[in-house]
Amino acid sequence: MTENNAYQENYERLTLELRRGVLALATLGRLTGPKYGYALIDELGRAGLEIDHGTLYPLLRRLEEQGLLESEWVVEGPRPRRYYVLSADGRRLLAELSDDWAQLVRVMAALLPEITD
Amino acid sequence: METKTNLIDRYLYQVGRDLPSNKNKRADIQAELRSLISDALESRYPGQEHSEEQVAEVLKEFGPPAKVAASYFPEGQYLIGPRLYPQFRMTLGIVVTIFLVVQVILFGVAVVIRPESLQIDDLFGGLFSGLMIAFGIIVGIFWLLQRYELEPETEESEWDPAELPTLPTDEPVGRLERVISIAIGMVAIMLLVFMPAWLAEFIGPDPEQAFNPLIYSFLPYIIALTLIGILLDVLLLWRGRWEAWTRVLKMLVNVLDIALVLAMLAAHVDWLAQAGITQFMFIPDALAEGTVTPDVIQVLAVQGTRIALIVAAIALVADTGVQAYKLVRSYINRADTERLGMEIRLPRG
Repeated sequence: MTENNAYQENYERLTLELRRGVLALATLGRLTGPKYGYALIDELGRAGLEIDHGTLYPLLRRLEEQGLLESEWVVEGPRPRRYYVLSADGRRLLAELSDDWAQLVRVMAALLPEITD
Repeated sequence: METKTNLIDRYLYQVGRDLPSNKNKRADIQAELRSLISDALESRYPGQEHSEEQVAEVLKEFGPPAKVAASYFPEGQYLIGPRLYPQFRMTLGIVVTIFLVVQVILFGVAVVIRPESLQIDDLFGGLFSGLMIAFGIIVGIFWLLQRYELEPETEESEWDPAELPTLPTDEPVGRLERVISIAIGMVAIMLLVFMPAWLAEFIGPDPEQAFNPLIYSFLPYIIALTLIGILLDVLLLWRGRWEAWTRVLKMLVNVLDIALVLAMLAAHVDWLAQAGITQFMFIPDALAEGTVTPDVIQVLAVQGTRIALIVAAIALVADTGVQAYKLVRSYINRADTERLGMEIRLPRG
């Protein structure tokens, strides 16, 4: 029984790492147009990438601090919302990273063993 | 409506307490969180009005304030984070070693120049509190570096593989043994230094009436070799693992110790012979009669010391033999693995 738990923990840890690895790229990819935080989480979730608040929002801040995103407060209705969008550097980075990603997919396909059920 | 804003306000305040002290940044993060919480609320429960339970539920999803703050400032969760830790360890090691060496040297100087001024407090108290203060200062400095996310400048000079230190043998130096040995050494020196004064109090101004008159004549050598032993222990503590040259040093110090022990042994045998005692263990009649004079005590003390010296000599010779054996074996091991072209794998620390 404990072996199962240990295995489960290992699986969860590694799958989380996989997802964390692609999170920044996925985020950048969805910010070609301005979006606010909650909408982004929603969009990513519906596409199949489940992310929790505690991971995405600090990430958005960090990307902005690194100059890859720009943000501004927009007042709509009763309260303001913060919209993020790619900066010029961000667009360029997105293009390069997307190429890297395509390359990585090819490499992994070659590296991973064929799984036959 | 009052309760709803109040709950969120209280939440954001708690989050703010653990955020970086930069006011603008903190306020910005809080404003953003407020907006995000509202978004979550509205998407979950459409409409402007929300009950306290609904707010609480959404807040719970966001997580405890401390954790949320931590996600915005991960490096602040450490006293000394993983980035700075290696340098911290290195700095600590260097400072502590220097400190110990300086203390031992100062102690040695005091012993030679002004033994009367020594007190037990000076020695251990000073050492301990000094170490604590040094440790505290270093931790404090690195905490500050961590807090303000600074990185100390390190010189990255080109390293030369030819300058790699010689391979240590597998064996780590027993840290606890060394520390105990140092402590015993220092206590021993204290005792030896104070002995004349104490004995004078006990027995009278004539030191020849001392328990063991012979120790006097060897006192400077005993103290000197004990000091050398302490310095060697500090050196071994610093290196961490035995190396060929440290083994040789240890053997040399052992040889000096053996020489001293043998010299003292010879003196004791002579003294006893002159007192007319040639057997190994002589129990004076006076003891049986119950009259214990200083003479009797002297004889017993000198005999006892002689036995102790013999034991010490045997132990020292044995240790020297062990060191020699390990030294030879380490060379054989190295030669073997080189011959077979295998990599030497050292066990972890």
